[in-house]
Amino acid sequence: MTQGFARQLAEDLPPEDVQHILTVFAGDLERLSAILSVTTEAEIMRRTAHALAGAAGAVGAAGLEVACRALMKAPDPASAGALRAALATEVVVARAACQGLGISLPSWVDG
Amino acid sequence: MERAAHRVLVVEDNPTQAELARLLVAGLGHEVRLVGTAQLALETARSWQPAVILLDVDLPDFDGLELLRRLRAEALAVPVIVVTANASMEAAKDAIRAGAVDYLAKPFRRDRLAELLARVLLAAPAPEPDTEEGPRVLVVEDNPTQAALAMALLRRSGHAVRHVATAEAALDLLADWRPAAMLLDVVLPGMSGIDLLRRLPELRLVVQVVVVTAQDSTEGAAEAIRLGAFDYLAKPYDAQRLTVTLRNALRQASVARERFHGFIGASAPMQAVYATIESVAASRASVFITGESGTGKELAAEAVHRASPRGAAPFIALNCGAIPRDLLESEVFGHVKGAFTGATGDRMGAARLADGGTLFLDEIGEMPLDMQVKLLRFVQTGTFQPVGSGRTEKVEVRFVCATNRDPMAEVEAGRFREDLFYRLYVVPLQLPPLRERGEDVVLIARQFLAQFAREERRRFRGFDLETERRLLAYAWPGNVRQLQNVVRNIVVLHDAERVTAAMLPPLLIAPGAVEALRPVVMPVVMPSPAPTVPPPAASPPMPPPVAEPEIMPLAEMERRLILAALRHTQDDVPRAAALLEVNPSTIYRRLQQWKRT
Repeated sequence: MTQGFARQLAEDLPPEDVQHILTVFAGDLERLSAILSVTTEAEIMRRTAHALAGAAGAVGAAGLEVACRALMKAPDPASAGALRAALATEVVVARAACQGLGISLPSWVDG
Repeated sequence: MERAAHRVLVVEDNPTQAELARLLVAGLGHEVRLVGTAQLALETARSWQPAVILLDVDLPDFDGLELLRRLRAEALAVPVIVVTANASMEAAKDAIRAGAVDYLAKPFRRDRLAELLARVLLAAPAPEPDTEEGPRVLVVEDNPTQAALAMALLRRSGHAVRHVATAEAALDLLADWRPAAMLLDVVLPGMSGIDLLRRLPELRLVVQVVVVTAQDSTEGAAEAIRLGAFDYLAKPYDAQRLTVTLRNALRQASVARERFHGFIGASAPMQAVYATIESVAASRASVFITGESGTGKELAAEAVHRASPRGAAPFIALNCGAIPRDLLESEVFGHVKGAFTGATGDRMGAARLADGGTLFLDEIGEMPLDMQVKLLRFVQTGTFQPVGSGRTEKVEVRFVCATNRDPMAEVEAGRFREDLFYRLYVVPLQLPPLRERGEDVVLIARQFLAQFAREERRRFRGFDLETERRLLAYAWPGNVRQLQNVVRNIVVLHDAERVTAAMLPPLLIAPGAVEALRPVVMPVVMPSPAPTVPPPAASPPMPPPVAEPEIMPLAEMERRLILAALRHTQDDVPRAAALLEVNPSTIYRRLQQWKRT
């Protein structure tokens, strides 16, 4: 996770707003990465990666955003194994960063 | 934090479960609708636009996972919480992978439901009270994190904020809430941000739009600016960038220009036209103006010229449709003495006259193909040969062209050379039809009224409210030229302090006038002297009696009308053309024909 994660938010907004945005992000992160991990449709992969890139960019999760944008350019899920693996790694990093900031994850996420 | 009611759609076929869910959700302060099939759920999601759906996975028509897939296929952004009797984590994860935001195992508890809804609805805060102070900004964003960030930043900088996740919901809210600005994501589920911008003129609202785009997508931003957006922000943006852009947009809203180089209009589409003209003026790039007849294409060409560094140099306008084919080359490039019968001396053409300035080729689509070849060479090299001369001349001109046709269709039909089209179509400038310019209709009508009242020595000072309402409701298929004609007819035929609805031509009074979208020919009312004594206030002026016209060949009727209009205007062809609602070139062409016969 880059050092920029949430730092800009903390400079711009009071703690309760930061907490709120990161909670929303944590929900986005889990929902969208779950779809990306199983989808077999190119358009859904592209659209979902686009949405997650936007969410990641908003909170300064640069590594995750880059991984999403790379996946958006892949022709289809079948040929994007390495890119999806790289994205999965970034999801774990982002999840850990959220937890490190005291953000609770959705109940169905494995610890 | 206490939150106001949201719309929650419960999709459950078991009546007991459904009622339990309804009571629990309503007990949390939300508005609830119950449906028992997936098909009904889809339809309700589209029409009612709930903030969240509670979805039973076992439904009679198709299962909940299939519904999730269909919602996703339609790009409906509403979050779905799956309700399942199967409490296994794997079943729940299947639902999450299909696009659900979370799951709820039956029998569910109030606390668990409250916690889940609160989490999901965090991203969709309920509308703030209208009394909230600060300029109103509508955020149109389907990405929950982006929406939460934008709203937090905007509230922090003193704005009253509302959020919707779709363009359709924005359309619903815009007219009611009337925000001063809108932060609009380009990529949205369903209708796109660009499509929403296209629909804005219908609402006749003054709202400054800041478009939000992905960092690697400036194409949508450029299109948005062309359609009237004030500015764009690339994601991710910080508080400062957002605040400055919004402040500029709101300042612009308060100083929307009503006049610009001969144009009158404060509407958002015209602000976009002014902005485009200003931004391209300094360049040498060719400008290609499109728009329906009467939208002001020549005015736009002149504005491009006047706003440019070459504004003091010549602006030469040539109407390619008004000049006989065999004279067009000479008109553009000039000729030397003896080049053809009647060429008694050297004559400079428009190309030479425009040297250092701007050459405006109106009705470029009317140019014959053989002439297009010569024009292409001129555009490419800046050189030409006057007719009958062996000498090549070089000039430096900027090209501005205009057509009321669809240029791409003309290219496809083979009537316009593709290579020439792409040489000239560097900066497109589309002029909006009058029906998309909202209150501009009244601004322009007032200007014409003042001008014509002065010219015709009438007392008119304004329109009454009912007349303005009718002017606004009419579709103006002939655009500004038609409006000009209508106002001139009113001024010529009447005299009073205020224009009343009774003075309007029948076309604007007739039922269904609002739907008059296709161009129609306005009845030509030959002016008669205005009454020297105003009619009594108690009896509104009656429209002049219309005599049964003499039956004659249509061509003869056309000839008589054109000649009558020319007599009335002392042979002022543009003014006669305006009265007849035709292009001046039509009159020039007819005069040529009649001269030959």
